[in-house]
Amino acid sequence: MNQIYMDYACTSFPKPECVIRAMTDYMTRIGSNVSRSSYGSAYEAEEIVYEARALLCELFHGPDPRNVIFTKNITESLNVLIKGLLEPGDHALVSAMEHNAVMRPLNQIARELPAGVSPETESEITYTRIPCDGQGFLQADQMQKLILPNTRAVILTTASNVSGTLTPIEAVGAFCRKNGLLLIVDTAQTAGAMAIDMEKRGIDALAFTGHKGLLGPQGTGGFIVSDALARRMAPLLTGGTGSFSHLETVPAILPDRFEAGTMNLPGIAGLGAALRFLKDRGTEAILAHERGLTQLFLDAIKPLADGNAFHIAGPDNACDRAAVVSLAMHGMDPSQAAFRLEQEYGILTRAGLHCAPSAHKCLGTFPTGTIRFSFGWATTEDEVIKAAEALRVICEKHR
Amino acid sequence: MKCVITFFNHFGAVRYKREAGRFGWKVQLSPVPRALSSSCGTCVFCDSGADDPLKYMTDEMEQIALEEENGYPILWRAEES
Repeated sequence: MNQIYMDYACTSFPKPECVIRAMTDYMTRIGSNVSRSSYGSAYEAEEIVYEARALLCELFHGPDPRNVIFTKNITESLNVLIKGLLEPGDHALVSAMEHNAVMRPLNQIARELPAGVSPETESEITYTRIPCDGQGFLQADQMQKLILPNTRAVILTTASNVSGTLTPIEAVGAFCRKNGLLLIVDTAQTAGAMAIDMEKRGIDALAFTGHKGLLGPQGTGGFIVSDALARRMAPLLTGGTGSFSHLETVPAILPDRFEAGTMNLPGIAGLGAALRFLKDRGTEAILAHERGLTQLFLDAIKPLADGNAFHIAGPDNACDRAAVVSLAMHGMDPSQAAFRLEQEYGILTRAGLHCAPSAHKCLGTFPTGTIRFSFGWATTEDEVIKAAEALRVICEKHR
Repeated sequence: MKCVITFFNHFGAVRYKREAGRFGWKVQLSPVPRALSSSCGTCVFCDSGADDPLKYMTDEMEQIALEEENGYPILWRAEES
């Protein structure tokens, strides 16, 4: 049975051919480390890494390629940013739709404060959730009254990995600028398909993953941060950087400050190729493709939703969401639905809480969770129609 | 003018090589001569022709030394910070 992959929110598959070629080329022909030795193949590897930084800087309109820091994934990036930027006495705002990649590092160092409550001491880090409605939309008009004198940052996803609901980053950026707050964004679900302009949107730090919408391999990711902010941040990981080797202290210079040790060079080679692929294809074209598929799926399953087979979590329209559709099944375990879709139709989805319990609580789908379909660059209209039809058969058999 | 440029990190050396090429300068990445000390082990040997090598400067540059038969006299050095 042919597989129909519909789990792009988890990781993108397949990857463009050029990604595999770039990784194989690096591993078979180049192989050298960077920032260490000084010979031809090392320089060639350096050029590959530089090019990837430059493409990411261009994609996100960051300050400079040196401000693009590579990590192994966006979870690591968010850990570096959250733990590096927030200090004792700080307060942060997060949305009620955040992924555990934000919430777990935050809960490691901070305590949640209900709205309207002040911290008990000046030495703790605290945070408050900005409410979101039943479709996952941020209630941005609530933000002003949640600010405390010690509020320092707003940390938000650009789109929910559960419902796809988009965050109004432009409005939040303006709010942060007006109130002197840092804006840190998690772009896991939108990078590659939706334009994210750091400068225009007032984003101070941006975390990205290489293996979802950017179409690179797993084990790649990073963040982009200004010079000023970087100077204030303590790195999570320190060690050899191939620079200032006469010193045993962490260098201030970027990107070295946050890139101790050897990076995932085959991965970065693949990511660079993926970024060139995306640039050639155009973000708008990818967005149009994914949006079209999402709307096609929403339209195709609407009769089933109207017939009470399930509830569609999140916005009604594709233009208000990333290419992610979660269904709260009625009378059927979402895991069972996912299992049957794979066993009987070869359709691959993800069921459960998607590492985002807060989002599910917001959407009213906690603790059962949902079955999630997510589409990408290689998904076809035919596959979407087949998935909708498979869902119809499964739901009818279950009645 | 022939010179050797050292940098605070490898990123700076690679960036310089990419950008200085726009002026038509001959730029070659190389291990740093032991007579020069540097924060990072890769430098750039640059022939800027009739241009002054100070025409293109970056934050990552550590020092510019002239390439002469008897050594590398320093033309410019970044301020200590």
